[in-house]
Amino acid sequence: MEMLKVNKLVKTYEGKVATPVLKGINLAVRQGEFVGVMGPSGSGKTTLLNMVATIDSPSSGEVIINGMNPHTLKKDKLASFRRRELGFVFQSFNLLNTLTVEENIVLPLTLEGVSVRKMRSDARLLADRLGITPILDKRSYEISGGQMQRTAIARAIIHRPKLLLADEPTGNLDSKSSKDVMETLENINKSDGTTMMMVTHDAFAASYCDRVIFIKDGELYHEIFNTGNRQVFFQQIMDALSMMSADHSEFSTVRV
Amino acid sequence: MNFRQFAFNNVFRNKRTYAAYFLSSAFSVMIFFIYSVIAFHPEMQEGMVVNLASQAMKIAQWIVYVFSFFFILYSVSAFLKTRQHEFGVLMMQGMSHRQMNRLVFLENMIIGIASIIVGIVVGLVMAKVGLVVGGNMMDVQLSYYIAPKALTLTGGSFFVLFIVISFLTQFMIGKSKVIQLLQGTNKPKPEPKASLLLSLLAAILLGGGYFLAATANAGTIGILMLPVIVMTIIGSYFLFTQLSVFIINLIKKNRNFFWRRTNLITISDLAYRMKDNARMFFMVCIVSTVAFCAVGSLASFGVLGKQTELSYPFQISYLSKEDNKRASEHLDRIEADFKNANAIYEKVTTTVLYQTSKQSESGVSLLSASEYNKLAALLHIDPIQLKGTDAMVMPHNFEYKKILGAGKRDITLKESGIKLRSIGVAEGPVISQGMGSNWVIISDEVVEKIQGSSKKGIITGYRLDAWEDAKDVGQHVNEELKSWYEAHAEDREANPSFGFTSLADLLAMQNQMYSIMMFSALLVGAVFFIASGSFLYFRLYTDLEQDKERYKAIGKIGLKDKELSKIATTQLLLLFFIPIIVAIIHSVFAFMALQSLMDLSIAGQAFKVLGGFTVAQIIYFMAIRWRYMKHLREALH
Repeated sequence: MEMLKVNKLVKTYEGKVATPVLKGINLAVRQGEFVGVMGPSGSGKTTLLNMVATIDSPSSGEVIINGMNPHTLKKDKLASFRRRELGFVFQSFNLLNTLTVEENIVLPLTLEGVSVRKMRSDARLLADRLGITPILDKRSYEISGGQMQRTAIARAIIHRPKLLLADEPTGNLDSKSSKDVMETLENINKSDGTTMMMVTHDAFAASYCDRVIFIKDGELYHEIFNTGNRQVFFQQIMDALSMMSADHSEFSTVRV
Repeated sequence: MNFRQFAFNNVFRNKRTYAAYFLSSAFSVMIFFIYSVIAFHPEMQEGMVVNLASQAMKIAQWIVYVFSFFFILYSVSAFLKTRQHEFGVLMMQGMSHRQMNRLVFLENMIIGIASIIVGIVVGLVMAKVGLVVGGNMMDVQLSYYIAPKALTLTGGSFFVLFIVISFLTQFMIGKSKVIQLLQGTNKPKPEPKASLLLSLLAAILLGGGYFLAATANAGTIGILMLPVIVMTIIGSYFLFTQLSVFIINLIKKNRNFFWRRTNLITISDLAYRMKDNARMFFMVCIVSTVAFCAVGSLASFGVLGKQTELSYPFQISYLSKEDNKRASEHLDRIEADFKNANAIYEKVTTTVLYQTSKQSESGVSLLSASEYNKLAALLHIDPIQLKGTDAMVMPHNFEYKKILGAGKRDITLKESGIKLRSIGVAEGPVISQGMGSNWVIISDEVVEKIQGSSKKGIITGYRLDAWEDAKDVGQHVNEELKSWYEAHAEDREANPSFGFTSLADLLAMQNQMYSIMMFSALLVGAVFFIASGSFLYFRLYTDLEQDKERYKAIGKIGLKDKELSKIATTQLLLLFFIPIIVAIIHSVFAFMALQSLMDLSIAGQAFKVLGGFTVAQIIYFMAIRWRYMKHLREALH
């Protein structure tokens, strides 16, 4: 079954000169699949993610999440939809520094009006799984980057979203924290079966995905599948990246 | 682009950032200017009452000046804080601290001079309104005339003010590191800690202050005033810095409430900002309390008119002493005036004896019991019986009644050597204020004995119902009396051979004074009110960028428009009304203390003043909320 379907998605930024960012993207993501989106800067991958996240609206084409097109919803309904069906992980974490770690995690549930008992037990359970129990009472600026991102992940999945969207989740992290975060995401994907879509620059992060699609100049460029061996998959990703950049320019940005 | 142009462009291309600061400065200048125009108006220099008004204006004007200084100083520091990031960028480009100070100095002077000019220009227009309204209230015709002195004084004093403030700004930027400046206001602040002891202290100080204010009476209020004010100020400070944090922490512990829907965001944010807000709350609260009390207590002097009426049972009174040769001429004149005014009156004549008290060495006015009873019957007061050397004291006016102790005491009359024994306070006054002082009612037997050794006076009282119509009665006699006083201004021992009082005349003067006071108080109140509003505005403006970021972050998770509006409205409500509500409570207790000085209720007046301020605050809240929400929505979509 398809959790996410993107049909002929076009996004053009109107201005003095209309800038086409996405030029008709087609994409389907199965339930439980972990998809990575890669591409050079300006390729439109973040725009694609924002369309799927319903933060931005497309110029034409449609986005179907779990059989439903959220872009046809009214503003308030859309906010509810995002809150219930989607989870977000951002490069800059987007934690509220007025709240403690635990309060940050339960924030989506409080807005929904869930009972305090359920919120507490859900938060504790999740914190245990993500290894952030000792910092639950800390404020968000008192913890490390990796802990912040794991807190953000906990917040993104506490309401069991249908689709988890991640925008450069390892972009601000060191390699050890990156590894922790990616293992956390992989673990959630495998054991909960949460469908995930992740935009990244980082080939190492992308190697945790089941499939990586490459976008260039607003169009799908290439697609590779993980066959089970991460080392091999990582190498394939590196090859694809260098092939993509070698296409038009004289210098390869990644030397292998 | 040279350095001066850079500073100039900074101001003129960033109008919105500077707008609030500029407008509040210009407003202060304008108010100061209007006060000066009225105070220096040539028609304000003549006549006793009007001259007093001019003095009141001058005092009010300097209160505004001192207040403007602190207010503008606060505005500048709030304003500079919002620009920390900008300063960081400038320093990264290699600007030295010296240059930065010069930049800020120049910018401030540009704004200062601009607001002096705008304030005076707008003031020139508004002065017309001020002169008409002020003139009407004071009952003097004030033509539109701008005294050159008003112009130079306003321009000069505010120029000095802005130079001093611009000079002080360099201490505000300090020697912060570039990195700190770049992070600006975005760096997270730790939550303020609440001390249980200080929280308790706040509660005790406020409770104690309120209790003392509520139970104060005419005798104790003088001693209690200062301690109560100090207690309330310290109490308020700890209320906002300690007790409030303590209460918020208690609320946070109650997860059922704290974790309910938008409460989580609203309350955590309130706690987070409490340290900044506390000082602002405190300032707004004290400033508003001062404004409420100033306007409220002046408004309550309106009831003094009623008290005055009670001190003048005879609306027109004429006193003639033994050496007065023109008594019949004066009385004829007064009665002729009555005829002209078509007024119906009752006329009573009574004799007063004057002697000196041995105990106090001051003159006493003696009235026989039978004379007292004659007057009392007219005023529906119960008659009294006095025997032998028994006597009763009588207040010379309505307010004095409470101060006059009921205790027994001896009064020995110097001239006749008779020892009187005062057995109580007689109901009264039955003779209008100004016709005599230190009234003692004595028995008719004593009157017989001291007739020979006493000087005598004859009081003629006229009592009428429609006394407002008789405003001009006796004006001629009154003028004569006034010119006598003017002629004998140096000779303190001299006493005129006759006396005259007219309630209507007195009330007219009292009303005029009252209106002047009210007018000055309302203007000062307006300045304070606008100032507290600006404090709030700056607070919001300082945090706006941070708020936008926060709401953007929450918005990505999914925040409905209704929820956004609810969170922001609750926060604004708390920001706007917590200090005002505390100020209102403070003022209510202040009015309770004031009430103990008054015999008639001032609740009505107090309610009007507090109600008026509250309505103004609600309107201000609506306006600000509308703008603030617009900003937030723009950031979100």
